[in-house]
Amino acid sequence: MDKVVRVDNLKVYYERRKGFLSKPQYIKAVDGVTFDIYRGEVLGLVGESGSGKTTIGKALAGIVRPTSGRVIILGKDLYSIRGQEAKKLRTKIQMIFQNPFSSLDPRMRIKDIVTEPLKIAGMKVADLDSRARELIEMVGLSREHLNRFPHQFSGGQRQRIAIARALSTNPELIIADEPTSALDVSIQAQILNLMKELKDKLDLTMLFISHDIGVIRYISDRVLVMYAGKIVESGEKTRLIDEPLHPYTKGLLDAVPVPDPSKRRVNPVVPGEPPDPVNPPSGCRFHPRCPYAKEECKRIEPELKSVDDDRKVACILY
Amino acid sequence: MTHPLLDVRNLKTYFYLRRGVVKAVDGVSFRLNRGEALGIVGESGSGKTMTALSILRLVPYPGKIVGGEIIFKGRDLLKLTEKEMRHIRGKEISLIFQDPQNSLNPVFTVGWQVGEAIELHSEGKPLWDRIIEKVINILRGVGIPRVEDRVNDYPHEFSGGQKQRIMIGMSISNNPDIIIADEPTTALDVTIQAQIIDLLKDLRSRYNSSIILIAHNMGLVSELCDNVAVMYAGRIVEYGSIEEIFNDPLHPYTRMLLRCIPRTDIDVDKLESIPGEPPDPVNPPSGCRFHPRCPYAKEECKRDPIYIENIDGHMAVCELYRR
Ligand SMILES: Nc1ncnc2c1ncn2[C@@H]1O[C@H](COP(=O)(O)OP(=O)(O)O)[C@@H](O)[C@H]1O
Ligand SMILES: Nc1ncnc2c1ncn2[C@@H]1O[C@H](COP(=O)(O)OP(=O)(O)O)[C@@H](O)[C@H]1O
Ligand code: SF4
Ligand SMILES: [Mg+2]
Ligand SMILES: [Mg+2]
Repeated sequence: MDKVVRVDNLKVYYERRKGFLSKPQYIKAVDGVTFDIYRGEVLGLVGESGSGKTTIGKALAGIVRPTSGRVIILGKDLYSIRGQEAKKLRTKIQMIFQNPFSSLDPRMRIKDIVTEPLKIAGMKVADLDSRARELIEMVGLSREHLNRFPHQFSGGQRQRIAIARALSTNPELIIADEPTSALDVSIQAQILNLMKELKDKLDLTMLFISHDIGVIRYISDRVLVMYAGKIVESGEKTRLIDEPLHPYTKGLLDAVPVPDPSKRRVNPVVPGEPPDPVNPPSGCRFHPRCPYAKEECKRIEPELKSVDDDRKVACILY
Repeated sequence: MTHPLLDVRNLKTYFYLRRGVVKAVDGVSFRLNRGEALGIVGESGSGKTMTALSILRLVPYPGKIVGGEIIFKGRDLLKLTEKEMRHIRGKEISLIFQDPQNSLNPVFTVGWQVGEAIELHSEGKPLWDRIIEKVINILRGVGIPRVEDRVNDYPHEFSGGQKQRIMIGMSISNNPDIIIADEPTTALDVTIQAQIIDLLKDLRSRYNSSIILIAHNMGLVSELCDNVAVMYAGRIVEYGSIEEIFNDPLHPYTRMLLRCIPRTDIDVDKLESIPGEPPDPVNPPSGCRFHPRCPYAKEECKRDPIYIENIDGHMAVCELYRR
């Protein structure tokens, strides 16, 4: 199958200095992840806060330079190409952010916001106004909205505007970072349905980041589960969610409250909290919280290995 | 008939703005029994927080409680003096907020803050050593590890989940009759959220406290509560037992809200979404406030008062049930 994205042993460390002269510390936000995104699929990236989801999204969008490893998009190495080639590739990748209140410039009119990426990319469009109209209607708003400013819109409408902007350059890859996390469920449902519809209509490939497993199950084809900068499990969404293998995935799924009083949680909840990203635990990073941990788990760092056709797990139990 | 512990009757809390009046809480009534856990659900802006703050008479300016009664253990809280109210707050009814970050004071140690909450409501003046002993017990009870070493730490030295545990510890330190938890886990990750819900369940069974859990997450309410009130635009539109609300909802809003939730346990092809957006609180629609978004709306839905269906206490405010 055609791969739109190939990520190979990606590491992103952030430097943190406590004082002027002190030794820098490294926050290992993403610490060696390898995965592909196939053409036309939605890859869901799930994990708790601080697990490195946004950092991966930014590395794919060309916003955060990797410490090491490679990001290949549409066959090109994102961080080694230059000039026109780089500029052209950038137009094929667009990112949608979580917060619809800070991601739109309050001083710009909607028509300028939605066509801004075209101008930045220096793309020649015969008629910007008609492109703006096309984009705004594609996301379910109307052309009367084009002359207004962001503050005149609700959160859900702003997220529609952000989607219109992301689509302006005819991208092939969309990176959506928690695009509905700030919205109420009834509005979230509208936005998720819109994104699904646009994905099919425009043949998009998508990395969809969320901490909400319900959202991931609804929108994705395949899922990656992150814990402390590592992928702990990946696979087809229904099977992964119905039969999780990694102890962390199991614990995470168990912890999600289901809106059905006959399905109250019976298993004990995963104890403890995620580790410090500067000094993650040795071996398997989940071992201090894992109910199945053995001695080896403290020593051996488990690799992400295939356990069957589409499932990969990083745990010595498999 | 036994009296409920708390009986809120026709509560109205309005905000007087230049642009008009926001009827944040507009005729809300419900009862809470001892040991009961009641969930209040609804989307943002529906009036959940203002209902909670009204019960404690902490509505911020320019908001005002303009009508109703809040009968707690036989007394109307709206008729008490400010001094009497201070005795109720934190001792008999306590409040846990969404954001533990902003509810703990950054310049005092957590031991001092929990201790002060205890001292404030103690008879006479207990020795500080005794208080700290109690603080340690409480913090241990809410699952703070190595408490003895940590009572003198400042809030920023704890994680978000731990801060919420400390807040909960503080709120139960005087053994209140009612704990009101306003989105207590919204800022937390799901494994930590589950730990906090376990803690609330445990406290409830240990002390027989009543809980009002305010949440926009229906799953959380389903996990913890006995009864549920569903709010929309300042009003309760449906009230019932947890089974009634989740298995047999009557109000179109409740039904649609439940079907908007992306489920972790089942695959769906297309999520239901509710068309439109919640109304402008200054100019809400007449009659049923949900009528502009309701697929079943008829002419009668635009007129007041809306019919109240009541089947053995399962109540829905909706014209569909008028016979
Ligand atoms: N710009 C930055 N500088 C320093 N640390 C950062 C920066 N961005 C993220 N981090 C840290 O990197 C880790 C991963 O963060 P992030 O990728 O945002 O995770 P997620 O999106 O899963 O919540 C966290 O520990 C976070 O605090
Ligand atoms: N300080 C305030 N000034 C004006 N209106 C307010 C204020 N606080 C709340 N409101 C209004 O009261 C209504 C209910 O708010 P709230 O109780 O906070 O809702 P919820 O907790 O359900 O999200 C909203 O329409 C909100 O706009
Ligand atoms: S009263 Fe009418 S508009 Fe309101 S929920 Fe019922 S049917 Fe819908
Ligand atoms: Mg993030
Ligand atoms: Mg609120």
